[in-house]
Amino acid sequence: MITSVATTPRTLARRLLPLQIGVALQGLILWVPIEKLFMTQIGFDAASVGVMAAAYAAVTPLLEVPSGILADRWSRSWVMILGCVALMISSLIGGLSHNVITYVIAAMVLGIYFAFSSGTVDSIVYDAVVEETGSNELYERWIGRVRAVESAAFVLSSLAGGVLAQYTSARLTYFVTVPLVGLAIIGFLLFDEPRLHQAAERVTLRSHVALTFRTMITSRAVVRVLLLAASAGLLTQAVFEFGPLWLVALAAPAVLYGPYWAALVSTLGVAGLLIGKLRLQRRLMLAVLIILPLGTALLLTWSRSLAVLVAAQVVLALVLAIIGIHSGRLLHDAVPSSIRAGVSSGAGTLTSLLFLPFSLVFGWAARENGVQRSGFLLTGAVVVVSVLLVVSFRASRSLAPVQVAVTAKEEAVEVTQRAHELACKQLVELVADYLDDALSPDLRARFEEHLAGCDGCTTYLSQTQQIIAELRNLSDAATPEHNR
Amino acid sequence: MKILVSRMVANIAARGRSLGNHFAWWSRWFPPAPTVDANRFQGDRDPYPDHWKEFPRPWSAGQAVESEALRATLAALPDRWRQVVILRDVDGRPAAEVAAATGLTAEQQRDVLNRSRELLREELHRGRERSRGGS
Repeated sequence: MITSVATTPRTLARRLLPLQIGVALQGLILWVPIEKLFMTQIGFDAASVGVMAAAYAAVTPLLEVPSGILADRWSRSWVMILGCVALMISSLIGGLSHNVITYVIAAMVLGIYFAFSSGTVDSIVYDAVVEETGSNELYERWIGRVRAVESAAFVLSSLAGGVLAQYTSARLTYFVTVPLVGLAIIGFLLFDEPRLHQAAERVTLRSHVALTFRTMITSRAVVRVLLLAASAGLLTQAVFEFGPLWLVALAAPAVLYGPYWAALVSTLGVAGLLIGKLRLQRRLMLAVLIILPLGTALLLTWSRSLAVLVAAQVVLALVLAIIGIHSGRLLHDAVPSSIRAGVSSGAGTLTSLLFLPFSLVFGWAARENGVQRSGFLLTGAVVVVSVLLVVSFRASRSLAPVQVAVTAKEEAVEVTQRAHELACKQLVELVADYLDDALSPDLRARFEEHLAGCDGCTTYLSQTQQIIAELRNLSDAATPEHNR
Repeated sequence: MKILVSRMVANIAARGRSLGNHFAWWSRWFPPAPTVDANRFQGDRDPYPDHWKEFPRPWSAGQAVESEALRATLAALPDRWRQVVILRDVDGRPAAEVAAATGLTAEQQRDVLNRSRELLREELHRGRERSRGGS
């Protein structure tokens, strides 16, 4: 029957290894921690940083959908490779930049990289797991491993980038990044790409998109959580995008940017570890989640101590990551599985759309009044997030938590446990178990009961049996791809 | 590093309980990967949720499954799927033996088998519908 602990076949681990190497090398972007420092060196001020962020927040959503379709119709590995090429070009243009214009162009090319790589690894891992095990049960474990490798690469490159910039120049970090990302291409080339997406018949684009948008607009529960997810995402982006400006304002040495950035990036992983241990349904926890970000955002507006500012940003990023994860989960629970990813990507797009004007306003305010004063914009955003958090907290207390099945088959068995009747959609997941006589007597009885009353499933089963019979006949004839 | 960061947040969120990614467009991600296309079944607002929208059309009696088409479809399956189908259905080996030979659990090889058989069935069914329309 359904086993709760699945084992990873060795073939799957071996197959995903080159992908992990590629992802790790692609994460070694050495210029990330000192980007803001370098930008001020070549003539950026706070306002033009805002313009750069907006330019690039505009590029990515535009390319998300086309790159996804490209990955589906053509090849996901090659879309990853194109992403690597965009990253290399962007690093090169960035490193050669001596003024604002060329650097903004580099940022827009970087936007192409994000559009190409975001979500692509997830679907590669998903399909590889289904291809190797016939079920998506192991997906979470493997995407978790891939993300852990990626985060480790981010932390490593943050530290190395800071050191490199301190002892050589900020510009060099851009050039050193280029060959490292080039090596990632080899990893993706060596990877044996799953081809399930080419075999499957596609759903019509229009009906799926229509259903997704209808859900996002008409369901109040979804709108509420969507706003929470998007505003928390906006604030996270703002901290990561504009946080380094506080360090620039205090003329922090280049070597500090590495550990600073590493601490900021590691909050994402720490939040992921913490979230399982926190009781987010408690009032006390809610109070902490509201007071901490408010306090830290206010600290950013008046403190002049480097240590205090860095600590405040790290705590703020950590709490926001927790809220982000929590809202993502609420969102997933609020929508049916078939449109879950679409609605989630709606939250991402909404974040980008909100971030675009926010970054322009923040950049302008930071130039006019100094970055500390413009910290009040962050405080304002924290208030918005807090209100939305309270609203969804009150709404979610009245709801029982939804159990989400990991695999389609688990879902099928769950349904039969709750309701007596088995639906056609669940029956088709159990056909192999039925023919192998691997169902429990109770489930077998329901399976047969459904068959007796359903012509559709009777036809379905008989066609499957005809296929099996004909496969058996193939063994008598010589089959070229089959050696005994 | 804006988008990168929110993407990572989303990914950690995905690691928790349910799947998905903030920035993964639906087309790149397949929810609880059903064996049969979810669109073939009625939705929550239809009279019989999760039951067939249209019954699979029965194959006309006496018409055997075309072995050529079957062989071609079998060759197009992902390697692991083809391996399991050949061992189980062509050679007729028992589940436990196939599990041992492939390094999968009995449960996993059955999942692979169920999906592969459906893919073969659907592909041959489509071929028949096409030839029906043609004649």
